Amino acid sequence: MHVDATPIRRRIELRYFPLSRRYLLRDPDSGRVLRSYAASAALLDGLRVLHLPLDGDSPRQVAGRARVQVGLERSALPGPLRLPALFEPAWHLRSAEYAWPIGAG
Amino acid sequence: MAYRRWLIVFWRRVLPAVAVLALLLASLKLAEEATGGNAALARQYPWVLGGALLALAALAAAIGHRLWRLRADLSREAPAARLTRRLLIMLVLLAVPPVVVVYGFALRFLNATVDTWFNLPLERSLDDALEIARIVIDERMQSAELDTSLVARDLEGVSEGELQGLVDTAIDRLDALELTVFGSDRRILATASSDPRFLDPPLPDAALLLRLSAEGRYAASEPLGDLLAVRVVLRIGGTRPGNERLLQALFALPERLQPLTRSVETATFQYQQLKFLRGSLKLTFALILSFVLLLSVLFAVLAAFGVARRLVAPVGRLVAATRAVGAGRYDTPLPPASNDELGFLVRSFAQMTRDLELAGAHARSSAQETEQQRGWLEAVLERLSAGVLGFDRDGALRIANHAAETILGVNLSRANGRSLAEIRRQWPQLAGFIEPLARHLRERLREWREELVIETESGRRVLMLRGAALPGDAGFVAVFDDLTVLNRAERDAAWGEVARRLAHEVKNPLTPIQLAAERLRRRFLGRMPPDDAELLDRATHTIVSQVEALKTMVNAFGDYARPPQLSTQPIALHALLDEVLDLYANDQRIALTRDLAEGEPLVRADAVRLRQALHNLLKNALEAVGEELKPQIQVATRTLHADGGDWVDLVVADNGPGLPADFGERWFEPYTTSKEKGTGLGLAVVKKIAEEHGGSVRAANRERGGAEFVLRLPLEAL
Repeated sequence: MHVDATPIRRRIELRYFPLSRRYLLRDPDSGRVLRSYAASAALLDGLRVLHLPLDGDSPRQVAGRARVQVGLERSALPGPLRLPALFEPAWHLRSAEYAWPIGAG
Repeated sequence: MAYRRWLIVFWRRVLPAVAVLALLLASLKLAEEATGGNAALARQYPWVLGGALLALAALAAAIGHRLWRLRADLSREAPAARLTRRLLIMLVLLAVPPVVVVYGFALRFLNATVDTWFNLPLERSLDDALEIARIVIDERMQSAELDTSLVARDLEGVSEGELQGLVDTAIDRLDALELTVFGSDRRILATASSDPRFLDPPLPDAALLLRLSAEGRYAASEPLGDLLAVRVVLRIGGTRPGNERLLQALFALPERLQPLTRSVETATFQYQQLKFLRGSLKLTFALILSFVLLLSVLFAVLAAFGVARRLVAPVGRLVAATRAVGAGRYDTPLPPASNDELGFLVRSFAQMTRDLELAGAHARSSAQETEQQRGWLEAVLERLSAGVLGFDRDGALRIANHAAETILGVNLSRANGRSLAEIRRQWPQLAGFIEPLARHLRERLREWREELVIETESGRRVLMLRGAALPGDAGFVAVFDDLTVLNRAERDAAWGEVARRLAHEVKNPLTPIQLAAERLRRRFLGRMPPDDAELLDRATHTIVSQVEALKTMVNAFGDYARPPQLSTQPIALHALLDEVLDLYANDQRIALTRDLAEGEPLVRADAVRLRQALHNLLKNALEAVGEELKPQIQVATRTLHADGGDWVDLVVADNGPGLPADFGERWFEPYTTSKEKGTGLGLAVVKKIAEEHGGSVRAANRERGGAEFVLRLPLEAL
């Protein structure tokens, strides 16, 4: 998400835990579990709506346009996948940019 | 210049070395990444790959440049270029196949190794370990569910105000991490935590509530941060519909179970991840190995270039030096001699070059000396009055001096290298000279001599031809003298003596005879009878007239024999000719025509003598056409270049009977005539005058009848 050209980058990690048979959405930087699912379909469905905290200036405090874009970070893939992912188009995932106006609250 | 040198060093040395190093580092980096790697450096992954591809391209370009240079060297046949190509091919053939074989084996080995990571017993063991951990967790879960259900029963019908106190008491009893009571809208009514990390209780999501409504309870193990916890959610009874409460309890596994379950889970996760990534892992390793293969092959080719260049460079310089020596340059620098066989070759070549240089200098000195001797010989030959011809052992003409050309009247410089047969075909008039010469050459006598008579453009010539074989079977030499001049001089001297004696012995008695006859006539003519007087008159008249004729003849001989006392000066020939011809122009007996060359030829001559020669020629022509019905005399001049000089020919032609069959050189000698009234001195005097002026006279029959006499005189140089 970008506000006044100050980019804010948020990363989400998808991880499966075989012992508890749970699919987790985690913040890889803090290790905090965002969501926990019993099925991979539920996890993928849960990806449609994500509530992510914003650091710094909140869009409520600034006016202008905000833009958001979602993409797959190939460098975070497991080592063996990184080289094939460079050449495989299926791994080149990046959404179009979505922009909307915001006003100072 | 320094920049160019730096550029060459960079292109040949620095760039390939940097490229090889970059490829090596990239390969190591890729290998590290493939087996796990440092995630912090993963962002540079495309750059590392791009750098490796760039290094590959740089190496390929460096090799391509060397190949292009080698091709150019081969095209211009540079020294040792072909040897470099051969050595390069050998080195590449030696280096590349092993690398390719190792590549193939490494690929197979890696695939096999990766496959061995995923064997069935290991996978089953991991599954068993996971199942054991789940069983343990399930037991803990059942216990936790039981304990939680007891607390839930205690909280039935409790007001919201009392909930927190009961929850605080229950958490200590349950030894739970967290205990929370949710309202109907998942509002937290009361919560307690025994661990500060879990102050914020996880809210039940839709899936949990669905399972709760379906099964009436929810118990499951869930990862919470780095901890695996048991989560139990139950309904609290005794509440009104639409106002139901949920009790959520989080339990930690026993302390000693935590690392074990974490280890089992981590191992299982990694194993399954590896299993999932097996194809990618193999592909990655194959790519890395391909990089290493390319690096090895390109480096081997590059190294082969370097080795070939180092090995062949001294040979190339030796070849260049050999070519320079072949071209006569002995100062070409040689590579420094090493202590191996190549050094021995360089030293031997240097010694050979020095010897060749000395030999060359000696040869040049000898050639110069030979050339000097040749020049000396040519100078001598050119100044000989005798003609000299030199033939090689095959009979081809090699030497002809100027005198030979003058005597034979041909330009023999064009016949150099030709055989006698070819010379004869070119100049048929020399047959009388060539045939006896060829005959003697065929006989191969050591020495021989023969007197020849040949016909040339300037008349008949008597030659004394002598020949000898050259030493060492090197060929033959023929020397010939023109005896014509000698014979003529002898005959002239003889005629001069005759004339002198005639003048002395004959002329002196003539006057007394004449005087005596006249005295007899005067004394006895008047006294004698008429018949006798008439006889005496006729007799004395005959005596006087014949004595007069004898005097004329003797005077003519005297004139012929008198040494020439010429008074030469440049004379306009056509003017002199007009002056003489005008005297004959009014003669009705003949038709005199003039055909003079353009311009006014100048000759250095004695005008009186030249005029006499012209008169003699005209008189000779008049006498020749005396009995013709339509006598014609034609006088012509023409200029020409012959025998190395410029000449003018004065031609006096007639339509008389022509020259007698036996006409020859002797007809220009005194007292030779075919006419009854001639003294025999006319042509002899013409010839004498011609020779006094450095010219000649010759005669020939004309094709359309009659004879022509040609007086040739040298032109005066302007």
